[in-house]
Amino acid sequence: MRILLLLACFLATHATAAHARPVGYAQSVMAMTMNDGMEHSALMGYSPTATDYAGLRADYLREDEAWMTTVNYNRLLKRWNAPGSQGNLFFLGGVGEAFRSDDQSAAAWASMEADWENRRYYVSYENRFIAASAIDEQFMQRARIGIAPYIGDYDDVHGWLMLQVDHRPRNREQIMVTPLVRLFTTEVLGEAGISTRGDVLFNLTTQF
Amino acid sequence: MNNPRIILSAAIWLVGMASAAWAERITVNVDGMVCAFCAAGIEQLLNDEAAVAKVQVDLDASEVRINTKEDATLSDDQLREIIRKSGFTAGKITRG
Repeated sequence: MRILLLLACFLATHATAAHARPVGYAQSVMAMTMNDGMEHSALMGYSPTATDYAGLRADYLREDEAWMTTVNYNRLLKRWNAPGSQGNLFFLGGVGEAFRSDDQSAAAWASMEADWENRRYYVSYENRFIAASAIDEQFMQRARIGIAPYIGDYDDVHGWLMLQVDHRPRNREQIMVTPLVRLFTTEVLGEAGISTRGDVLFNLTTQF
Repeated sequence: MNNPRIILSAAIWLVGMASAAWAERITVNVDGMVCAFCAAGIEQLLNDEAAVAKVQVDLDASEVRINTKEDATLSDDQLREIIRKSGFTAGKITRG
């Protein structure tokens, strides 16, 4: 399990091309690592079409001190391509195992994500429901807003200033607010921030 | 026209013009293409095509400009399918 996580992290930081969606373009491989005060995640998978993605995902839930490894399928349910903007609706799901101390059980999770962006503004919402007896049922949701302080050309380094709000009803601190910076080129997308309670956020996504 | 250099230059110019006539420059308007990170998929899939010599993405104009190789072309249907596989929607396609 930890080897899988390390492998995914390694691939996420060493791949040569990138993309930032739950589903990549057709016949592409995606690797991602996401880390914040509540969770560490690593995933890697393949998109046979522009609407489907399947892969492996490992999560470490910090407050529960629990691991979850799942086979993961994502589906682009709807995309709205308009002149100057794009909107998306995704379903994500996974089944596998959860581990905490000596406790182990089957695990499943499901998530819905929606986003909209143009070249200046960004807004997104996602939620996730986890069912696993080893770590109890969990619901979490996240919203983001973002603004691009400048509009770059295709080959430039692009930047976004974002504000992320997490809500996890089971956690001691249910709300976490994280201002963050997103930087990306055509090849790699990285995000870094610090939450209002001092936790570091670091995300890296690649697609090739 | 007895000067060999003039004849050679004319021949090179004619060959160049003939070659240029067979290479195409195609411009595709693409809806939804708002970020470089996402548009990289369009560039990659087009570069995988044997007929493509050069791809240029212009986010400001929402356009992808394609130069084909000599004696090669891509049909409108092929271009629309590549853009669709990248997750975007192709609009107007112009050639020349």
